[in-house]
Amino acid sequence: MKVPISWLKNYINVDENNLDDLLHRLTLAGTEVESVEIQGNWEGVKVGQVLEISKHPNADRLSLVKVNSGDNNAIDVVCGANNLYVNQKIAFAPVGSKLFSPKSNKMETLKKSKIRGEVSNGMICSSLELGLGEDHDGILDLDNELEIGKNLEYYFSDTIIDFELTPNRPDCLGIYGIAREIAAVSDEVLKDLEVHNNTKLNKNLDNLEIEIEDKDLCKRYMGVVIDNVKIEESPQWLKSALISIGENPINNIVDITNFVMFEIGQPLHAFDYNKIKNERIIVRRAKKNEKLITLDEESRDLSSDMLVIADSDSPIALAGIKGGKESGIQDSTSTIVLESACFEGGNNRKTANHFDLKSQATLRFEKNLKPELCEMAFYRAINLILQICGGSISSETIDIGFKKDHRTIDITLDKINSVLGFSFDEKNIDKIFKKLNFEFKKNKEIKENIIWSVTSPFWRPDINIPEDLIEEISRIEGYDSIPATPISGVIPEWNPNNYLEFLDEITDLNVSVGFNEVINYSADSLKNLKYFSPEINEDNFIKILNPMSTEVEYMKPSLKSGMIKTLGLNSRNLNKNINLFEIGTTFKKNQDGELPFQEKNLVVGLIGNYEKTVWGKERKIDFYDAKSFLDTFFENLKINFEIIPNDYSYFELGKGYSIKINNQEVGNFGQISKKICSSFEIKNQEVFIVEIEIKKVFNNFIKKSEIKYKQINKFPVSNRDISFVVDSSTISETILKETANYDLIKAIKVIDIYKDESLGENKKSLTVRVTYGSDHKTLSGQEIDECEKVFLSNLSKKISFDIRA
Amino acid sequence: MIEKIEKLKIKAENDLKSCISIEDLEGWRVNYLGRKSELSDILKNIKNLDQELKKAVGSLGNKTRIGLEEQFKYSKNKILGINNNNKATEDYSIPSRSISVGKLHPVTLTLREIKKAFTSLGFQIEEGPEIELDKYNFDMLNIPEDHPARDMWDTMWIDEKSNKNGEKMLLRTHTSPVQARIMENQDPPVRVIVPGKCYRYEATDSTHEWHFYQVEGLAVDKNLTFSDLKGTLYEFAKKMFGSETKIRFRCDYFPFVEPGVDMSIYWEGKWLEILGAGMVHPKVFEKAGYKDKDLSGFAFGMGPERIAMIKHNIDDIRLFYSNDLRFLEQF
Repeated sequence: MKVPISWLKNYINVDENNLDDLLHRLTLAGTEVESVEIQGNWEGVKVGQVLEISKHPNADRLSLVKVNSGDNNAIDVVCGANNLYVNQKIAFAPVGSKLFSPKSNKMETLKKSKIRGEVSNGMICSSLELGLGEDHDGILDLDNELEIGKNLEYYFSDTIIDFELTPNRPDCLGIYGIAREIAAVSDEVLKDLEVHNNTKLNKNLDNLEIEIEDKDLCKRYMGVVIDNVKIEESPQWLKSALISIGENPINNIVDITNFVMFEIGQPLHAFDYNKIKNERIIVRRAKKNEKLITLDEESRDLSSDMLVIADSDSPIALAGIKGGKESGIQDSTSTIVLESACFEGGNNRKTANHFDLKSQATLRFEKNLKPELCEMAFYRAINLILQICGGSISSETIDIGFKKDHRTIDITLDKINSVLGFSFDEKNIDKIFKKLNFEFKKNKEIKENIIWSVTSPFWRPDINIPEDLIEEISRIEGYDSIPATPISGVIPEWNPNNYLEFLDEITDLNVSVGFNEVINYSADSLKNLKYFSPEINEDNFIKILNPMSTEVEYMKPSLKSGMIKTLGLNSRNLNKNINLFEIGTTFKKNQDGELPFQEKNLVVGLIGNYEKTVWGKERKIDFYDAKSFLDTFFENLKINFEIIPNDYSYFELGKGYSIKINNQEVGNFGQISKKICSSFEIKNQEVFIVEIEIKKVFNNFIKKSEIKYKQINKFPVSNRDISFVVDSSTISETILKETANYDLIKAIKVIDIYKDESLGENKKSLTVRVTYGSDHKTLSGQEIDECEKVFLSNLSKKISFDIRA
Repeated sequence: MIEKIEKLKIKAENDLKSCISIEDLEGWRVNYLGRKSELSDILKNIKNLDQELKKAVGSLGNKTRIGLEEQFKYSKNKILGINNNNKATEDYSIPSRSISVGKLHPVTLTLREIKKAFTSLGFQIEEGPEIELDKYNFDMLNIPEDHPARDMWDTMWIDEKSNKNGEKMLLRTHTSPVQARIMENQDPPVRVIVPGKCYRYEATDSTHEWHFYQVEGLAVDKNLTFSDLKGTLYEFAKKMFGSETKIRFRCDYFPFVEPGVDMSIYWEGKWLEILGAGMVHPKVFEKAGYKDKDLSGFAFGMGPERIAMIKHNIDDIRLFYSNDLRFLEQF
């Protein structure tokens, strides 16, 4: 909401020397100042007058103009505007003056120029060029009363305050409302707005009937006919006022209705009386198949939940949103109907949203203005119309539908103090209520607990419950004056969420083993998601109706796509091994029509090369880097897991694995297929991805705090190395698994793998280190020999092998 | 004589402290340990002393000389930058075998700081769904359909007409719906914070992301006051930004609280908003089924990205989710 200080000063004294202090107080009390802008982006621009206009010899659309800029001189200027006329007062920028250039975004000095062969010694400015408005169609047509040669800032300089208002305060959508707010937070006194309702009826000539059919959507409708008005341009003060808040002046009637809306906050509308059939105005819901061409020349298909203003035949306006073209004010209009009405907010907003017509009227009506506001604006506008447009009142003033609301809000001193945690003084509260124009009666029967019965003023539809009054008291007193105390009351039973703690634990674990955390968007393109969730039917991806772009149109059922994108991005920037992880939510449709399944997954990604160092050669990351993540991860969580080869369309053939805990699949890992890599613009690089469903891991997790200690074995253990020569297709797990059946074998691990022709065709050597031991005694060599013998003999029943000496 | 040596020793040691160059040291050496030094004189003339004294002076004199020589060597090495007693046997300046440790995302770091600040005040941590029902995101928070306050949250909708009860689904625009879910499931007293992702239909620029985190807070008990709210959030801000931080409360509007608050901190010459808060609106209690008239509470919500941007001097919010390691590895 733009508020020019010059406009504001009509209603309240503003000390511009202490403006910052005032704006700070307004901000603290809830009316936040977004920016303060000094209007008038020029230096040296003067009021000039057009003396002569002639055609440019070399350009049809340009004119040669002689301008008097104050010394009865006649300066030659080339101008392209089409609204020039002789004796016109204009804003003239002579050579050497400075104007703001939106192109270069800085002030530029005007130079003498030649346009199509003719010399131009200056420029006649449009309101856009002066930063006074958006209108670029023609030059700024100044009021004839302005003095030639005066600096333009004498008439047009101003400070504009832009407020960021909250949706509960429609009163501040009028500059008079801002003045009220200033009065509430300062010692300044608000001036009364001069509104006379001595609308003397000269002659009762024109008939007007108004009927509200749908009373639920229209709480008041005031109307009057004014005849013999002259439609013309508004006087300069009115045009300047509108221009200063960024509105385009249209004609005097429309400008007055706009001005009053920006002054008081009540939207108004004016109809051409002669276009209203049978002089009847009906406020009703639209009928099926009705249409209306609105002022913006759009044809609108109406539906039966939309409120319209209709004449006896058809709709003539979208109530409180936009007028109809047919009934609008035109230059030829001589008799008007002025409307000041109160429309229900929700319905108004809904209709406006339907047509994407967020007008200034809807911005106010949607906040459920009170019907009392109509009256103030109605008479204010009538006063201005009679003053500016001439004419006289030619019908009864009609006022229907209005019922006064006598509701009061009761509030006790006890309540105020118990909500705020502060002891307010009774008199202080009286003072604040008075400052805000809240009428009240006090009941002091119970001495310790005074009751105020408060009626809020008609411009404050946001005050409805005692808590609203408490906010008023505290914001006017200042939130700063309420003390900050340590939180009181009972600390709830400590019942931490184990699952969230587990998420933190695995996050820390991943970081501690060298993986960087990333956070990707929760959505991706359908194309990318389909690669990694081939089991999901295309219709079963969760689509966002209004996504930011098709790149983020579907919620992710798997985190792989985001991880691959991030790996690709970083591997293009950095030449090293990149280890990343993300813990994020995955989304899968719930067929029962409930909210989708939303579970957290862990995704881990690896790409790149280990650089050459003193300690090792350069090498590519590989399968075992990914596997070592899994081994470390589950070892730390003390969970046994298995990996089992499996086919996945997104992993390279033979390079995909399921991860299982207790035979339940909890995730998978492998090398991403080259085809998918290249669609993510990753070339000549191997990408390994692990993705795990965290809930399933959590279900097998025992909190570290619940682990019970096992006795450390007091007896020494012995290691023996055995080298097996086996078929090269034999995986070491076959041997390792066998040892699980022997009490005396405490551990076994592969310590060497060796392939050589000397071993025989398709053979390899696997060296394992077996750890023997007992919980009860020190084992003798003989006992170990016996155990080893049985182990080897049982193993030989499963696979064929030789022992290498 | 003994006394003389002791005095000499103290003087020499004091002088040595003020030697800052090799030249200074050489001068000192000549002065105290040189052939013509006082100590040398004493030792040279020792033969003239009687037996008893000869022994005592000789012993002290030599001890002092050796001590001063040691100190001279030490000082000389110190000035030359040599540590002779500890000659390195390894080239300790080459890079070691790397033990890599990853980095937490700056948003996670900030969330953890926030969580730590509030758990110390008895707040527990909960989460809630990111795809949410219209009812929880808006209606239960006193934001009915067609309410102008809905403009404060540009919503992204899910393309499933509705759930089986005909309720529309959306990407939650704030973490506040979890307030309502918690109150439906838990009796007071409540102290909880809810971190999580939120989404808004908002063009992305250096200060706006359509995808971001929020931390919601809720406390409900008998007779909680605005002062409690202020005390809690001031405590939080001091934990996050330092105990000297200047903090400001100003009036603001959110449909689910009354009175409503915007909290700012004074940071590098400017007031910066860091969170919204207020006393829980009676309508919110009513809708959640909290009926006890004595109950009151407060709620607050903040953006960890904004807090991280302030603390770490980050000028573009888009850095958080572009996941460039050159950014992430700085934390």
